[in-house]
Amino acid sequence: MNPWKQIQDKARNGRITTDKRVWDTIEYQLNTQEQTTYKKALYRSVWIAAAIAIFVSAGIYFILESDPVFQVEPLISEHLPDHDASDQLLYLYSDLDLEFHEKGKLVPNFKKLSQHPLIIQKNL
Amino acid sequence: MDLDSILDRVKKKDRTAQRILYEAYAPVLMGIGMRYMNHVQEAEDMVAEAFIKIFTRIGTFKDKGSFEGWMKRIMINECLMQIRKNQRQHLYLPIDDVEVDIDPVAIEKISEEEIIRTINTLPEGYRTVFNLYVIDGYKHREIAEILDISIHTSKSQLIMAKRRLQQLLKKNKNYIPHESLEANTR
Repeated sequence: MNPWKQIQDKARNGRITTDKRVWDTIEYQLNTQEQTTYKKALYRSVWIAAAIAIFVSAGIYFILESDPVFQVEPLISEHLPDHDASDQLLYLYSDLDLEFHEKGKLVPNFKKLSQHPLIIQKNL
Repeated sequence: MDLDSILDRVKKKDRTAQRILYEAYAPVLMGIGMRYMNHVQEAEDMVAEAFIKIFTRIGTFKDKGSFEGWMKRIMINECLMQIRKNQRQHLYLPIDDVEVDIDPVAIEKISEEEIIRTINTLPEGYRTVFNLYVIDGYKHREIAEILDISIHTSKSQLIMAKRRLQQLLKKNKNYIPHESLEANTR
């Protein structure tokens, strides 16, 4: 038989007992790892909760600070028929009467406004 | 309790199952550690590191291969990483081509633990190459890559390791060459 094969077999099958402290070390490190993982999960939850709270608060703030449903605003009547360019009209309008301007800003839909008796004051 | 059910419990981080697995395989891994590392303490540290890795990465073990083989590979890698970290200055010793011959009958009488302890006494450079090539079945090309040495160095270190091991084994009280036995019986 090849002596190196013999040595290989013996070395591979060899068992050596470890000291008790090895398991203690393993257990200690596993406990530490688990505690770290738990703490990380806890911190992550806290951060997520804080982010949600900030997001919700910001949402509430913007809703409260946003324009009221009905607004009063002086408008130049140049878009409206049957009025002089110099006339100023006061319109009461709701969000439904708004439309997006091509530049992205919300502006009153003058066509729609002119069809409804929303004019509450004339010649300011 | 069979290995599969223990592994299932280990995957759920059951400490008792981890302990059972440790008790069953620590001596096997310690055998590897003793072959690769310089001291018992160092080998035990490697066993601890390997088991921590085994317990934390057990989810990545695929059922295709043997679990023991998977654990042994982790242990060998731990030892190699430590050896690289240590960057021992005496890793490579001079090349000296010699024929190596060991009597198989004499080897028969030496216990497994004695073989491991004898391998442990080899100088580190020899020992690492010897373990990787002779015991763990790596190729010279792989050893050269792992240890960042040339294939030629790997081969020469192996020859030197064998020669040194032969000398060490011959000093063992149980190493009695076949010829001596025959001479005594005449």
